[in-house]
Amino acid sequence: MTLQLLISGFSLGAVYALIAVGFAIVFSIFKFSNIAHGGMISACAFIGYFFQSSFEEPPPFIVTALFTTGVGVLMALLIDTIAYRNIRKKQAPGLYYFLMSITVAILIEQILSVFFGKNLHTYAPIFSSTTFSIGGLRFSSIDTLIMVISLAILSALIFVINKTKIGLAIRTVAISPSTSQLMGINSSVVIMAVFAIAGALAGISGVLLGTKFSVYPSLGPSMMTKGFIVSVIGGLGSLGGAIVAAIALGVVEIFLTYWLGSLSTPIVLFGIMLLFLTVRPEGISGRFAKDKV
Amino acid sequence: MSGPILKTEHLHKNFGGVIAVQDFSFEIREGEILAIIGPNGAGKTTIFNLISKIYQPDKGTIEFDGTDITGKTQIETARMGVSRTFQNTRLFTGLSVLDNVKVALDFAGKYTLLEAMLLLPRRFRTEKETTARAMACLKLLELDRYAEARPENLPYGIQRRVEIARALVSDPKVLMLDEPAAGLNPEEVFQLVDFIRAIKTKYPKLAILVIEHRMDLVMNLSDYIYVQDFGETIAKGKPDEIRNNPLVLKAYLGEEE
Amino acid sequence: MSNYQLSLIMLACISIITVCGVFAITSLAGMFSLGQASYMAISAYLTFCIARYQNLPVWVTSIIGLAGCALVAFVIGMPTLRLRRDYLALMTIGFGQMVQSIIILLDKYTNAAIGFSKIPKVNNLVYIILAITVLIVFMVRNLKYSRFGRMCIALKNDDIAARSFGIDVHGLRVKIYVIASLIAGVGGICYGLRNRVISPDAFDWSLSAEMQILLFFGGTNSLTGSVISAACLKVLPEFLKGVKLFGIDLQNCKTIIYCLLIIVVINLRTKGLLGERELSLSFLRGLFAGKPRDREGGEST
Repeated sequence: MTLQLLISGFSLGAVYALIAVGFAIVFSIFKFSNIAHGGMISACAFIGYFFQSSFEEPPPFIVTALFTTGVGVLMALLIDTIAYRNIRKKQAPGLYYFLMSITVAILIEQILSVFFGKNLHTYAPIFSSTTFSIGGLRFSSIDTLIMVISLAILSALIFVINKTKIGLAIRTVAISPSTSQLMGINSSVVIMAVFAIAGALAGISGVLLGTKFSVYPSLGPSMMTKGFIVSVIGGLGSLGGAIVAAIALGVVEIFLTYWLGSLSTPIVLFGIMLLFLTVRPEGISGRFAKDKV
Repeated sequence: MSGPILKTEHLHKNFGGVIAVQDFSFEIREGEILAIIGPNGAGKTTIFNLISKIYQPDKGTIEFDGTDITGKTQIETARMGVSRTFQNTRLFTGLSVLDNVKVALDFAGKYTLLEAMLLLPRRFRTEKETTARAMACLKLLELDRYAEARPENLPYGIQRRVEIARALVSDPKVLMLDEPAAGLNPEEVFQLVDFIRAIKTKYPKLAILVIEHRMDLVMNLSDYIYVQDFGETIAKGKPDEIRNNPLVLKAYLGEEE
Repeated sequence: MSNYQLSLIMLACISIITVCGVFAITSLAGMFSLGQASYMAISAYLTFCIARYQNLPVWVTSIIGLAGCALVAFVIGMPTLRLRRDYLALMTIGFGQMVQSIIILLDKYTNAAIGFSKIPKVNNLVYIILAITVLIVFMVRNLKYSRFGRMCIALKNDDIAARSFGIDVHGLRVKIYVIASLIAGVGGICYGLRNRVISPDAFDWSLSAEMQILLFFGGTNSLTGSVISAACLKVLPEFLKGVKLFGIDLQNCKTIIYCLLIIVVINLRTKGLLGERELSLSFLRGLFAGKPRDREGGEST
């Protein structure tokens, strides 16, 4: 049982890592917390669901996932255009980015709940049997699939950030926007790339969460809290710290739910976060995201 | 004569391997005007930031009026009576000129949050007092007609003066002026010298610490000068001594050509 | 006046009270809180549950409820307000979920998701709520023009410069946060008295976010603007009841409409409709003389 819980926790944590990274990558460039990321996650979960159920015979999971990822990219670019582009041009204070992201998050949640009701939707099952066994141990098929997909995407992302030209540009802009301008880095390309990556991550995590749980309008916002806990514990703006913290959170959450039930878990998690902020506000990575001096 | 009001010993500060300040020791007495000069990047502003505790020094001690204040926070240091201006003016843009000056008195305001919200008499009395003090200070710097204006709408020279008024209003023991003449035209620089003299007459015990790289201003004004270059003190002495010091001419004036 | 009209007045008043709390925290101290609704929930549940189970009058238990609010705000605020400003917002979303979970966990007392409806009836409620609203607007206005208001605007602009004038940035933030939570708590009690039923999902994060939206709609730093927008935007949709467009009830869409409006407003007029101006006699006089006057307010960096 413990091993199965561990796998389940790992798989949940891997999804949290996807969310946290999508959230952190926007933060690293723009230095504001993009609450709208949660909205994108729920929107993508719904879009994936409706895409899948529009066919007589549900298409292979990979098709749904790819489609939703694409939609996520487009949606992120659209949100950037309608919400952030203008205030960026006006060089408005950070407060407005934040307000815009809240507004977009609520807008999405409200559209989903007004037009698609507050009832739950469930994805068609991917596997004919919910578990499989290796050497006498039974594993949940869906958890294993989610874990494999998430880890693959995270590795790809780490490769992109660390080894490619656009990744280098993103890291440079994250450290010093003014220097990177001098070095001739095209900031609008970097901005597009960052939102595209965040959108893709929102798309895939929406589908994965939808498959694991069910689809409902406040799915994304509640996941945002998880993404935030991860960023706090990992240290905002640190990729490695976020992944470690996400997986730890996933495992802790699954065990807590198993022992205490799903109602007490958010209370304990919040307590842990509060404690963490008090004791070690800079996160496990030790890197501290500060406002400008 | 009493001991120095502010004194540092062997201050050091590194930023990621770059030495910003090295072994800086100085002292200033009540009523003195002391200048720290040096080319850009000589670590002058860092010295101010160390004294006002925006940064903590890596090594060395800071003494204020005979007590060690090295470990104190920025807020505690400010409340003791070490006041400063900033190199690029940092006036509060949401407040009028008068409120910008009043806000420097507000931490010690004599009414509580509840009295403020319920508009009790003590609030009126304190506000009246604060306004009077702030207006007196504005008058001294000939700023009273700008009292209701928003600082961001005023010319740069006026903004610099508002900064000085804001630093002065709380009746500090040490006033630190960070390049008060930066960005001023020659006429305004003249005025500035007059204003600093006026401040000195009004507050005879105030110790004034000025960072500057304009030689002319400093020579006229200060009692004592420290010359910094690449984080180190290369010379110190009375204005006349500095004027003829070959090291200074080489390091400092040489750069101007 | 008919009961319906009275109930609309109370609705507007409660909206004004809650937005005043948000004004203190966002417009003065420059922080975002998405947990104001949770403070409404805490004080409302404490007040009415204790009143019911201990048989105490509501005005006594409301003091307990508000004290509880202040205590919780202090515990949450102390560690969080030391950090970047958006930490508070995200922290408070998690806080909201925690409060909802606790309410559902204590279903023996709170009746969980069905809602707690054993709230005593208060006579002449509309006058009481009106008086409270006036008092709170008055107090927040005084706060803005006091030394605390000035210090808040200073720290919102530039906290390093604020510290170098002896302003205890963290302490001030905590004070304002506690005050804002208390105001939200008052709003929560009024809400309970008006609706006679409270349920956990009435106080979720979208209610807190709606307050932020109402605030910004009126003007980032304008108290009068926020008060007007809080009252109008909350009451107007009530007249849309039953109006249908393409088969969709417009009243349900009010938040969608507001969100779209705010996106348009911020794109075109970044500081909100009234910006930093306060509607006052001198401002109106200036307006008619063709020369609007700048009043105090704050612009965040």
